[in-house]
Amino acid sequence: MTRTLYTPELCEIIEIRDETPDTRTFRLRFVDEEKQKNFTFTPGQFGLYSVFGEGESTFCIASPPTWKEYFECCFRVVGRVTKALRLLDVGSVIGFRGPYGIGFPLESWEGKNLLFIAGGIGLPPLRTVIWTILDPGYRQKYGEVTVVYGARSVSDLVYKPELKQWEERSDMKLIKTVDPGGETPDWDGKIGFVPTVLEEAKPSSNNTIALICGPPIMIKFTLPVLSSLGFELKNVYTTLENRMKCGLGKCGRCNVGDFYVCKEGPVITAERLKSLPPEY
Amino acid sequence: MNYKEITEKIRERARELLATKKVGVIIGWAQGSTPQKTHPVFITNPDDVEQLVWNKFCYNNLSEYLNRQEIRAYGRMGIISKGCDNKAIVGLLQEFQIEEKDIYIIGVVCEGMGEPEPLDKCRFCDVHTPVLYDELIGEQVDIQPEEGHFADVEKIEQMSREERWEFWQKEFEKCIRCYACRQVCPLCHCRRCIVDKNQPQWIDLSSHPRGNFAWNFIRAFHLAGRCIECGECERACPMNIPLMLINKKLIKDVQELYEYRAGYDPKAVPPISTWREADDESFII
Amino acid sequence: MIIQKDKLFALLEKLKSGGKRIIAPTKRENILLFSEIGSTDEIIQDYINTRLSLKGFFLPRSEPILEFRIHQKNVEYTTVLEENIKPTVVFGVRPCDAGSLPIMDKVYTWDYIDEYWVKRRESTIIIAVSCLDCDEACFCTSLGLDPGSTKGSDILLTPVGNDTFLVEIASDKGKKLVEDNAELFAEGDADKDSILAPVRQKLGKKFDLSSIQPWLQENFFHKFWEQNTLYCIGCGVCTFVCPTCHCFDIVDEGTVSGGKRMKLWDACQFRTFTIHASGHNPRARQDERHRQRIEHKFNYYPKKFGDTLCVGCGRCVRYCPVDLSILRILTMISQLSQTGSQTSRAEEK
Repeated sequence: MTRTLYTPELCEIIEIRDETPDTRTFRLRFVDEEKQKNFTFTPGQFGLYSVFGEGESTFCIASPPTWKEYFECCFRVVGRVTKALRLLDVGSVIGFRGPYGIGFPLESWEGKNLLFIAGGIGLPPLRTVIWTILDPGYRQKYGEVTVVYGARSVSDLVYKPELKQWEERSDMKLIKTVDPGGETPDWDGKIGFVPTVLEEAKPSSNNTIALICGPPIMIKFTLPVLSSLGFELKNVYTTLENRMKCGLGKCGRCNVGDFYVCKEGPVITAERLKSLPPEY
Repeated sequence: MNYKEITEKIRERARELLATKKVGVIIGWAQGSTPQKTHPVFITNPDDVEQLVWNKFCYNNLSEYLNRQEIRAYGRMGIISKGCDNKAIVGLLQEFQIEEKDIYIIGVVCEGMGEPEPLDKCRFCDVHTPVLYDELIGEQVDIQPEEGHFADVEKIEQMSREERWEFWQKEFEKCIRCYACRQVCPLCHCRRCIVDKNQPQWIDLSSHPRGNFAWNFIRAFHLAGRCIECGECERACPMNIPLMLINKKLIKDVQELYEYRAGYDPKAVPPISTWREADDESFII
Repeated sequence: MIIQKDKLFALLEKLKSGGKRIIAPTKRENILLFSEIGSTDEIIQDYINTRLSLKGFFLPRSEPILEFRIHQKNVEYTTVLEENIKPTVVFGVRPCDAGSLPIMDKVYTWDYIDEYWVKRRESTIIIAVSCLDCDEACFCTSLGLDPGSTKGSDILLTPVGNDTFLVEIASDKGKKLVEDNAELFAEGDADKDSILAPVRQKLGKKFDLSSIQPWLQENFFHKFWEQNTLYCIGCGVCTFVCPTCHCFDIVDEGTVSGGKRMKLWDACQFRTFTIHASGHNPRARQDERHRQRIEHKFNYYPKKFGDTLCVGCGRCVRYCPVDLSILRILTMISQLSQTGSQTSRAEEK
């Protein structure tokens, strides 16, 4: 078949999990087995997922490249495409284009500690990194691994079974929190906003890379905390979420200043972000 | 009063209204990129009133800006208003898009726009003196509208169905879907236009015949009984589609069916916004 | 080399009967547009420029890129890409429009090749015609172009009087076309500079291009944008008539059983351009959206691709419904850059 840069591949939905009342995970496998076998990407890269007849939507690849049999995405049901995605069952096929963009520079972080800070549905873009470095082949390359994760309420936390696994592991530390009022009687985590909880936890900035992903308001209040902990902006990474159509640097939609999120992002350092206009 | 005198008076009043904080902004026209053009301008500083002009080229219907959040943020809006633009303010008041307390209208008597020939709409204008104003600049003029207001519409009505189809097909084929017609229209004030709604996608965005017909007809239908005939859509259209022919057809029908003309009375109830028990419903069933 | 007008039209007729599609300026429903001609009689020769640029022949207003059929859980789809594009000759292109094509090639071949653009470019020959007149909206000379520049053309013709054109070969494609039809061309020369002197003088230089990008880089938060661009009404006229605006949308249309994925022109001036499904809009205000257009053309694009994303054709100036003239904006910026006025990020709002 003729293919162009806009032609998607077909992927079958092999598993569906509801993360929160409005957030869903799809486990996907390329219909073409060869494609699945050869599918590689860097954590932090994204794809365009399509429901034929409704259009394409951009999400990160939420699973690590070390999982070879399938890959995952996680989306909040909010627009035309995600509403259509939600109506699909296991066995349905969707379109996929990717991987696009530039992921996290994992190799350059070898020998360093990693601090992950996520809020709400900001966890999926970091989860791909977390599971990658937790892989036995990678884990010894990195120092301490700390994850600070919060959401508005207990029900808004995504990947709940995995949070349990992370808590039980000895090679990483998870600090989970919910906003005041969002707790349940049996909640065993912290109660407080992510920036406050981070401030109390006082993670060391020494030889440490921070990755932060979450709602803009969380990022806004977390960056000063990181600065007060001694983090330099060049060691703080985040991912941008600008609207995209092509994902390939053509359609002219996702730029923040001269930074094309689809081609040069979505991963960006806080240092670079600070130099750009606030159009994200 | 001549154009120069009216310009001076507009500037004087704008300065006074801004200086005394009666308004936060004056919406007017400024000299454009050529002598035959003006552009809209928002004056917030009394020292800037010299930018305001009044001449034969004040085409833009400034009422379009009354519904924009960025402009409203300046405070009470003073607006320089010629008769046709003024009718749009009547519409916006009728439809509760603005409140009288939010605006201050400086009406200007207009003898018609365009040079050497007046715009088509000006030949049939019956509002050389605006309907609604807080103060009026200029002396009332006695210019009677020409006969034959709907002559161009009647020409289309006399065509056979097939001829009409062919006529509009050719015209709509040109449409590039830039939505200038919508954006200049003071009464296209939906926060989210139906063409921008995508759940479901009511109107195809492609400019194939289906998409172009759907867009152009729905735009016109939404203005039935509301269009105040400022002609801005047609003037703005970069592809010269005679949009006013459709709008005028609807104006004519509404006038014949309901004896109603939009834009003259802020207290009137627009016919398409109301309902009578005796209304003919046969077209629904 | 020269060519007589009758020979030139004979050339077009010959190319047409040889199977080529001939595009030229024609009157269509009272506006001047590039369109396919049935005969050279339809060609309009007295014009400043066409209403729309010729970009629509490479990036159509809307075109399908995928077709699909849906049966319950099964989807079949095929890519839509014209494999055998009819070889095309565009005649009567103005040097500004011709100059836009190599500029646009850069984005459409940036790492990933957009076959839709590239294939059409490859199968098209551009015969441009120098301008002997301009209007007050034209400003090619302020952008390093010229009413007689050959950038982007395969052949440039300059009218030298007596129904005669001076012929300049500007590419290998152009060279081949002339060689294959050598009998229609004749020896001859003319003083192009003196012929173009009056229009060059009329055009003048309206602003200093070298001052624009440095000012834009420093003044993203300047009050200038609110003061001078807020009256933009947010329509798509400027971007749609523009030969270098290339932003597009991808949308699906059809029914539950099948449909098409369409690639459409889109405009950064539309409120919906960057809006997220959540309602958050990175460029929420109209002056911000207008600033994006100027920044993209005169700051971001030059930074990325080394070319200004504007050729001075003047269409956006001519057809803006509210006379928000880019020429005026650029002239003001050029003047401001001399006075050194700027507002820092801290002073914003």
